[in-house]
Formats: sequence, C-alpha cells, structure tokens
Amino acid sequence: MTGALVLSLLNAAVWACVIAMVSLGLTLIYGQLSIINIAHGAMYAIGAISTFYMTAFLGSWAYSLVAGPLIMAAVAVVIYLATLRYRIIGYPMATTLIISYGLMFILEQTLFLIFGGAPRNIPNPLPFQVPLFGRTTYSGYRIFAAMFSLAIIGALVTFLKKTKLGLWIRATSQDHDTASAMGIPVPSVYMFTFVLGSVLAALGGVVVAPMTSITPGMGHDILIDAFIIVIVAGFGSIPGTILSALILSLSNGIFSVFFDPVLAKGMSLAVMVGVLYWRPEGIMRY
Amino acid sequence: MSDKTVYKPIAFCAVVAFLVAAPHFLSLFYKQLLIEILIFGLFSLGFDIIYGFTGLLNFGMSVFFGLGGYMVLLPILHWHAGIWTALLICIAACSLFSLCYGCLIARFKSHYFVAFTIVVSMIFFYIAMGQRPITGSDEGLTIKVPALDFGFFTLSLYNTMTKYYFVLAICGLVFLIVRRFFRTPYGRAIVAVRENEARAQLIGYNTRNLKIASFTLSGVVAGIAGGLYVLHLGFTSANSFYWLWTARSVWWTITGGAGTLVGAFIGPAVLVFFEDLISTWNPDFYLIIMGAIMILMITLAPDGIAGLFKLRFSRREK
Amino acid sequence: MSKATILRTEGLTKRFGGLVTTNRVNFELKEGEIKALIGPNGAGKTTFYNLITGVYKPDEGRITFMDEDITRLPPHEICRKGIARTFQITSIFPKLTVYENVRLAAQVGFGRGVSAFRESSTLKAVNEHVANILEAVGLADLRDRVSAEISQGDQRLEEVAIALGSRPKLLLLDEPTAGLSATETWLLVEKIKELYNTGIIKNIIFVEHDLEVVTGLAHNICVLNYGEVVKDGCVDDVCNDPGVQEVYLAGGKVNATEG
Repeated sequence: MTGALVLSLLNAAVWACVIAMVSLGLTLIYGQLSIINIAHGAMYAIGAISTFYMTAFLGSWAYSLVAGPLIMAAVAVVIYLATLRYRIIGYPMATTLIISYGLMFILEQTLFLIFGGAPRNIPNPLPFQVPLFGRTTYSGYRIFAAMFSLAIIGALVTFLKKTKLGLWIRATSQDHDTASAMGIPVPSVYMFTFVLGSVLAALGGVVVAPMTSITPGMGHDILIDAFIIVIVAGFGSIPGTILSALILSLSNGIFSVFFDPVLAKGMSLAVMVGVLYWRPEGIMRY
Repeated sequence: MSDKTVYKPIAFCAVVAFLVAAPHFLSLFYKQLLIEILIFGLFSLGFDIIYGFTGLLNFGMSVFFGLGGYMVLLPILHWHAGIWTALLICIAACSLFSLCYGCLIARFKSHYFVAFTIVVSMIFFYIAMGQRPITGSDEGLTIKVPALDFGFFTLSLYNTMTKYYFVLAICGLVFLIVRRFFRTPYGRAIVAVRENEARAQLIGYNTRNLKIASFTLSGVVAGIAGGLYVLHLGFTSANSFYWLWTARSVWWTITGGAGTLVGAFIGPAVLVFFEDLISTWNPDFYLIIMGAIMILMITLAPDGIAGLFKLRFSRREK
Repeated sequence: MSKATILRTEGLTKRFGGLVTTNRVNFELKEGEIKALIGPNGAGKTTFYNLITGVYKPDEGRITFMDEDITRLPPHEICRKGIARTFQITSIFPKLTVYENVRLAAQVGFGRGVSAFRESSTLKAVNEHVANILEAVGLADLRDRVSAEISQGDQRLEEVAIALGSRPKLLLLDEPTAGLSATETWLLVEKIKELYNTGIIKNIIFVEHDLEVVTGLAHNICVLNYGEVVKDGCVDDVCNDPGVQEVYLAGGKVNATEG
C-alpha cells in the first residue's frame, strides 16, 4: 500500500512539473494577449508527434528536444501571422477564442492526416531505474522529465526577470500603451509571447511522448487541466501555477491509490473547487 | 419608418414559414439534420442567455446538456415514463440543479467564474464516466423512445415528420418565452448587469439574484436541449458531459451572434449544414476546412452573423 | 419650524489598511437643502459617497437616512430607500439607448418590484415617468440614441437623468461638471437649478471643484480635507473662513476644474 502510494505520488509529482510547464505557456498567452488558447492541447500533441517522427526516422530521441520546439515555433509564427496578428486589440475576446478553436481543428486534423488515429508509442530513451530509499527504484526517464520541465520553468523565470526581452514582455503585459510609448516593439513582443507559449506546450508533449501513447487528440484532457490550473492559480502568477499544478496532480495521485482512476480525477477536481472557494482571487497574488 | 423595422418581421415570417413547410420538401436526411440544428440551437440559446445577455462566460454548459439528457433517459428507461413526464422531470431537475449551482457560483467574478464552470462540468464528466451501472459510462445507454401521448391519440417519434414538428414546437415555444422574458423589466435588468454591474446595483438592482435567475434559466434551456437530443437519438452517454460539447455551444453562439437570441439558431444552422456538406465532399480534410471557415467567419463578422445583419440595417437607417 | 434632517452621518470612519480615508465625519443634510462637498483631491469625498451608498462599509459610525439607520444595508437596498448618485467618470449603460438607461432606473420600485412577466413597453406608469424625466432634463429628443454615441455634455445629463429615474429623495452628484466646457457646465447647472425649483429633487449633495458652480448652486458647503470635516456652514461663512482658504482655496483664488 505504501509502495503504491509512494509510486503514485512520484508519478503525480513528475506530472505536476510537466503540466506546470504547459500551463505556464497558457498563462503567458492569456496574460498578455488575452487569448484563451483552445489550440494549446493541439500544440502539446504537435510536440509529442514530432518527437515520434524524430525518434522513428532519425533514430534519436534527443534531437526532438530541440527539433520539437523549433517545429512548433515555426508553426506558431505562421498561424499567428495568418490569423491572430490583427485581432489582439480592439476585438472582443470571443474573436480570438473562436480563432484558436478553429486552429485546434486545423492542427489536430493535420496531425491526424499525417500520423493516423491509432495510438503509437516510442521506446523509452532512458531505460534505467534510479534507486530510491530501500529497495525501491523509479523510472529514470520520469525523473528526467520532471527535471527537464523544472529546468525549463527556471529558464523561463530567469529569462523573464533578467533579459531585456523578458522585461519587454513583462512591461507589455502590464500596460500595452505605455510599453509602446517607451519604444518597445509591442507587436513583435506579442508574436514572441505567442510563440513562446506554444513552445512550452509543445515541450510538454516532447517530454511526455516516451511515457504515454501518442495520438492526435491527446491534448484534449491536458487542455482542460491546464485551464483549470491556470485560472485557479491566478493569472500571471508563476509560483501560483506550480502550486496549483501540484495540488491538482498530487490529489489525483493520492486518490487514485484508493479509488478508481476516473473517480480519483473527479475528486481531485473537487479539491480544486475547494481551493477556488477558499481563495476566490487565485492562490497567490503576484 | 426605418428599413430595420420593416425587414425584421418579414424575415421572421419567412423563416417560420420555411421551418413549418420544410419537412414536406426535404429528404429524410435533411429532416434529421434540421432536427439536430434546432436542438443545437436550443442548446446554444442556453449559452447565449448566460453569456450574450448576462455577460458571464459559462464554459461548462455541457453539464446541463448531459444532465438534461440523462434526466429524460433515466425515467424512460427505469420507470417507463412517457415523454411529457420525462420532460417535466428534466425541467424540474435542471431547474433545481441550476438554481443551487447558480447560488454557489454567484460570488465569483470573471476568470474564477469560468474556472468554476469548467471544473464542475469536468467533475460531472468524470463521475458520469465512472458510474457505469447508472450512466453507461462512455458506451452509454439506449432507450426505445416512447410514443407521444396526447390523451386520445398517440404519435410515434420514430416518424421523422412528427419528431420534427415536436422538436420545432418545443424550440419555438422556449425561444418565444425567452425572447419575451428579455423584454420584461426583469430581463432588461439582467442585461444591465452585463453592461455595468456596479451601476445596476446603485440604481436598486440586486445583481446577485439577477445573475442567479439568468444562470438558472440558461441551465434549464440547455437541459431541455439535452433532453430533446436524447429523444432524437434514443441514446446518451457520459461523453455528453465532455467539454467539447460546451465548446460547440460557444462556437455556434458566437458565430451566429451572441446576445441576439436568433444568433443561437443561426450559428448551428450555418455551421452544422456546412459541416455536413464539407464532410461528405471531403471526409479527410473537412475539419481543416471547418477550422478555416470558423476563423474566416469570426474575422469577418466579429459580432457573429446576426451581428452582420444588425449592422447592415442600422447603416441604412442613417 | 425647523426642517427635517434627511441624511445624517455620525462619527463616520473608514480605514484602508493604515490609511484613514474618512475620519469621524459628522455630516447633516436638511430637507430642501443643496449642499456642496468640497476638498482637495484625495480628501475622501468619493469614499464618503461610497459609504453612504453602501459600496463600502464603515469601520465606525452611523448613517441615518430619513430617520432610518442604513449603515449596514447593501447598495441596492439603499437605492430603493431613496438615495441615488451620479459618477465622476460617466457610468451609464453604453450600448443601451438614453431612454432604456433611464427606464432601467425607473423600473425599480414601481409597485411590487421588478416585473418578470409584463413587457417593459406596456408599463404605463414607468414609461410616463421616464418621459417626464427626459423632458425635465432636456434629453427628450435624444431618447432613442445609443448612449455611447451622444456628446459628453449630454452623457453627464444622462447620468443625472438615470439617477432621477429611481425617484430618489436624495441625490448625490459626483463632480457633475467634470470634463465639460464652460457652456456645458453652465447648462448643466441651470438644469439642476430647474430640477430643484420644479420640485423634482429637493435634497442634493454635490461634489465639485469649480467654485463658481459651488457658490452658484449651493446653500451650504462642507469642506473635507484628509478625511476630516474642516468647516461646514453657509456659503459665505465657508468662503471667508481662513482655515478653509489655507487648505483649499490656496489663498483666496479658486482652482478651476482640476485634473
């Protein structure tokens, strides 16, 4: 029982790191562009599926860590320029919501046409076990996945705090007009933020690909989890997003030891309801 | 007299005439399609009430749709209820549920309201998926749709013509009730909440109660649509609680034109029709084309299709 | 015969964290009185309004309206008791017409609450009242225009019309002439005088920065500074009070509309 619980908690912790990274992408895009990115799940799938192809055809999974984000970035630039560019300011929020919904269809169907609907897997690229306390061991890859996600989050935070571009992003988030008046190239910052947010989603898919079965629609459940995490966390709060992801993931992990997975999922969501009630303004105020 | 006031009743009559006459010249397939369009229109109407008229984005409409469906299906399945009874149970259950739900959620503003609605609908999804004996989980439950009992005669809903008029009658009735409601002082007060909640309070409106009332109405309307969908298909499953249903109602309403009531029906009319057209023509690419059409439509008509017409008319007025 | 007190606050205090925005304010408005509330920016005038209208709850003190304690009531109930206010930054229902804006206010409290069954257009008493208000305020020919599209000056008039729609016994005006040109200001002031003289509204408090408006309209003035009442009395007394001059009038000459 304890063994199962520990394992479940570890898995949940790993998952929390990954979903936190994905959710940060979502919160970036919403926080600055006021876009509710319904296509975020599809972007996650793009990451996973590019990883599949990198692994299947180039024989190396490691390439996907770089190629995945690059592919996503290219796609994001194209879709941003084609559809969203002029709709950020002066249009009702519903406009970008519907656009991203349309993008979800386009992206997922394209993935479907390329990849097919049948779930496929890729082999574990780091098939070693890491010894923990006692005689238990844990999947080395999963630990890598968690570390990698945390590293990306850390890089993101550093980037936002310490670089000029990061400063531009933060300034534009707070006040578009003032930022523009200060000489910040706001339209470019918008595009960059969108691309950055998309890449974070795709990285989630890249990192998760060896752990799960890959399908074009794998982003659906992720999307809704990410939304819940982001809103409960309070928009724009990075520590809040991580905490929120931990709460959702760990409660799911704990409950799934004692109850069946579906019920556990429902219960973990109920926990989120509780958090919302306790802190209706979001977990942390930044 | 402005063009607008002349066009509206004419257009309205034309549409009603078409709807009434339609089953006589449409093929079976298109009759079925039209039935679906009407039901989806009713579902979108539910969303329009809370979003278009009250200004609250309820991204968990699927909970009403799913609940309404099961509240019609279960009485029929287990108690051999007739259609009227089942519908009454559906309405009563959805009213009670929406009222309680509305009271719980009224304290939340903007983003947190949205989050709450998403979470609640997903909780219901997972509960429904988990309770296989009750809900049939993702495989669902099937029923034999009972006959429509009018006392001294009955009609079978397996007759598409009958089913069409039945659905049309209910959708039409609900539409008229909702339209009338938003012309009463209470309905207008709900719109005031959307426009400027703080001010509405300061001219004497209990905005919390207004929001709860609107939320309840929205839930009931969406629930009725869910119930009708069950009567149409004779089937439902836990998937009716999945968030994609909510997304559909959002998409249909916004493309049709939020806050217009007719937009809620125009949306599905255009989009479902297109979807059918394109998917038969090119089953592989149809979602891509649909996605492109959605993007195009919302880009060209940010206020929806109904919004386009309103704009055209008001330009002529000046 | 002494006039009845319409509104009284006793020891009204409000704190936000460490900042005391309203400090033991005793304020009184008698029947038929027009009182100006003046003071530098940040003196706590809008907070005072928010306390009276129930948007903020005071930390200490009491608010009595027509001999009834309204201190703890929620905003919509206070409005129904008969207090209406306008806003410094125009706060109307932008997508609705002028008529609809005023009607929204008028619908409340006619008979048995807000009807959910009868169409608005059929409620004779309500519609008559709206027409009267629009006529009195001078917006009758703009009644079917969308509020977002009319001029600033007309919008300020609309603000007043909406407030009057609720048939208030006390009207709180918050910088009614803010952002208006000299002509528009004069027009608005004349309108307010007319509304008072014809008996549509007999008890008015107004916040103003323009001292010409104040002296032209008010019977009495209450001066606030740092949340405290500096002086409260008739126009002449207040204007000649050296303490007031120091605080607000900067040695005698008025600042025209600030900000």
